[in-house]
Amino acid sequence: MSNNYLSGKEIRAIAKENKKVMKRLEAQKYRKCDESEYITEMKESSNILEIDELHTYFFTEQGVVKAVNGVSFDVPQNKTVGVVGESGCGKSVTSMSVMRLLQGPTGQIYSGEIRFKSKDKDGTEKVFDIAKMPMADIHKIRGNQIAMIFQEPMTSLNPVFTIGQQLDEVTFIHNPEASKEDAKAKSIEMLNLVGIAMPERVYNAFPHELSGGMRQRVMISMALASNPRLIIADEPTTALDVTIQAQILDLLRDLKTKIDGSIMLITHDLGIIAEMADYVIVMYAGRVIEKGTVDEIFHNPLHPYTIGLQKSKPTLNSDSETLFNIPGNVPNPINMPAYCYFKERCSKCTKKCSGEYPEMIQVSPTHFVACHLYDEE
Amino acid sequence: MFKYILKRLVMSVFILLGVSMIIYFLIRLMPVDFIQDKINAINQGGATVSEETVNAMYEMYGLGDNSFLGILKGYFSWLSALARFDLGTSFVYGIPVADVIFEHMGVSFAIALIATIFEFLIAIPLGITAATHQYSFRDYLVTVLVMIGISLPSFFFGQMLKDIFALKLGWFPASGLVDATASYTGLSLLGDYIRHMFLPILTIVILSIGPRMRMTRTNMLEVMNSDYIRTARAKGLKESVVINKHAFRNTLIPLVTSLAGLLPSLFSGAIITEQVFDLPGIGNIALDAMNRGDIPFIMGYNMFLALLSVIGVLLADLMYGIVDPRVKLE
Repeated sequence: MSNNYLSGKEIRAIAKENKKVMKRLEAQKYRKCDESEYITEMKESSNILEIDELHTYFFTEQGVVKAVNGVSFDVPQNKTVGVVGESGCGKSVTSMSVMRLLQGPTGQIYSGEIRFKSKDKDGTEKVFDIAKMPMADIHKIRGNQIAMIFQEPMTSLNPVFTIGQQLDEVTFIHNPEASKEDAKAKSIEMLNLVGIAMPERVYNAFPHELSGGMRQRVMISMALASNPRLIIADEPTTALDVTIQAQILDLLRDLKTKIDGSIMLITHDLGIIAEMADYVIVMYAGRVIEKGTVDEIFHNPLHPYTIGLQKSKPTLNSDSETLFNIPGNVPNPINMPAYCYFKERCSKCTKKCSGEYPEMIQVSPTHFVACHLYDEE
Repeated sequence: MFKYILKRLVMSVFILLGVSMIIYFLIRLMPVDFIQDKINAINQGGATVSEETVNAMYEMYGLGDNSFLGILKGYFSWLSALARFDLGTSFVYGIPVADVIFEHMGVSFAIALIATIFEFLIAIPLGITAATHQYSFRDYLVTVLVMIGISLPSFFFGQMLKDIFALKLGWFPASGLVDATASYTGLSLLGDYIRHMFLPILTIVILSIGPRMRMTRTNMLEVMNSDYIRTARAKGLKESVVINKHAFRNTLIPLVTSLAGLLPSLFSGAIITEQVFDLPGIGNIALDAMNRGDIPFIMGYNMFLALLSVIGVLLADLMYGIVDPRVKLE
């Protein structure tokens, strides 16, 4: 393919175009505005988070990478929503968009809405459109109502501060009047909650003195310290070994009932999804291709990609020597085709697949799929 | 900790021995001859010096035998004097080397200390803003300005400042350390010192901001892209706290290492700047001593710097243990 090589003229044209858009979006990010500008309404009152046609782009030198290209899904109250897909499909970028942690000026939310039902300390509920919030107001939500657990526990803690210092900080952010003793008591309580033995000792330890599993527990306790309504767990067990993985997942499941909140669980491990999630979102190349309840996705997968994903899961009781894989590669994220992104790799292609990108088709009240195979005709 | 320091100090003795040996042999091999210069000066005055007198002078200064054994003998006599805390007598000034060093070090140290403080106070915030506003107009502006500073040679920039502010505008004195025509005391004397030292300090500060700012910027950028900064933001911390607490504490670690080289540079004097502004600093004196073959002074001065370097490195290592909890000194 020739599109990997750009002439100087093309590069300059891209840079000029990017600069214009980035400048506009950055200005919007740092604008001062009244709360009324980003207050909206939920479509479904039982949801805590509604992502609606989210587009998150990266403005690179080679062109615009549409990492998240029109993603829509909901996270209902007190439910766990699993987001699956292969590396680079936009799962992490979606969660970063919700937290507004995208590295600017290259990474930007281009359009779409992220509606979040926020609850003040006095109990009044407001719905904010996170995508339109200016950075100055983001602290109303970030870390406070939505907390995040990252995939690299080894590097996610600041090496020069003790665990205690980093945990106390969370208490102080959300309750500036708290005394040192209060903060410490709260931090120890949180460490206890995530099942750390000898919390007093861990409180005074530096991150490098803890194992990976311990650090991930600390990260979880940090996320819980502010009593969030939504926890985003971005591949929380990827960097851990299998026994620790199971412990961490058990912990997350227990906590969900304890804190009475929702979890958005991002992973590429279908086993974890089957165990943890109530709803599953399958993403491919920056789009949602299938969503439904965990039952529907596992027992009645419809999209050829979801079917392939499940087939490529290693199992102990099969006789085959080789592991199934889906042939081919994800299309170049800069020049996405106009037709279905999965077409080149799909074994069930029909003539229709060369046409427009398939619409989301509802097959049951909760089950949606974006594939021409299920077009009603 | 105590054991670690003791071990390092014992090691330092051997390092210093090695350094002194190398310096002594190099000086003896240098093509300058203090005695010959002195005799030439006398000869120019019209008098003649007899062969015996010349030989007697070589013997007196301990420079008679230039064979390997002779140099070795000279080295050990220097060393045995050092063991009695005697750095010897300067050939040029005829007074103990230690006195010469302490007499001229004050000026150089004052200039270097003030310049270093300003260098840090200006360069670190500049580096941080450049990093936190990467590729913005501010970043480019700061980078271009400090690059101009790095590129200017000190003899040119110092001379330029002198020409503009001292000779044309007359705001500052052009050279020296005190106004010879007035006799100041107390505060007014201090004021006079400051007026004289202003331009040399300005020269040094502007020329040295660049590397320190670039270093801060690079470290800061690396830290700002790390996972724990993302965690700090995700916690809901304000951006100013993220930068000034979480990121800066980590940027400090490599900055502390650079302190190792700082201690000797505070005392070594700025040779070129001192020349331009005709200051009686140690750098100026050391250059002169080198040209005239003043062996005891060169030895004393260089050993003093070597000692400071060794202490500086030790202090930097100890500081490392303080700013970075992952470093354990054993």
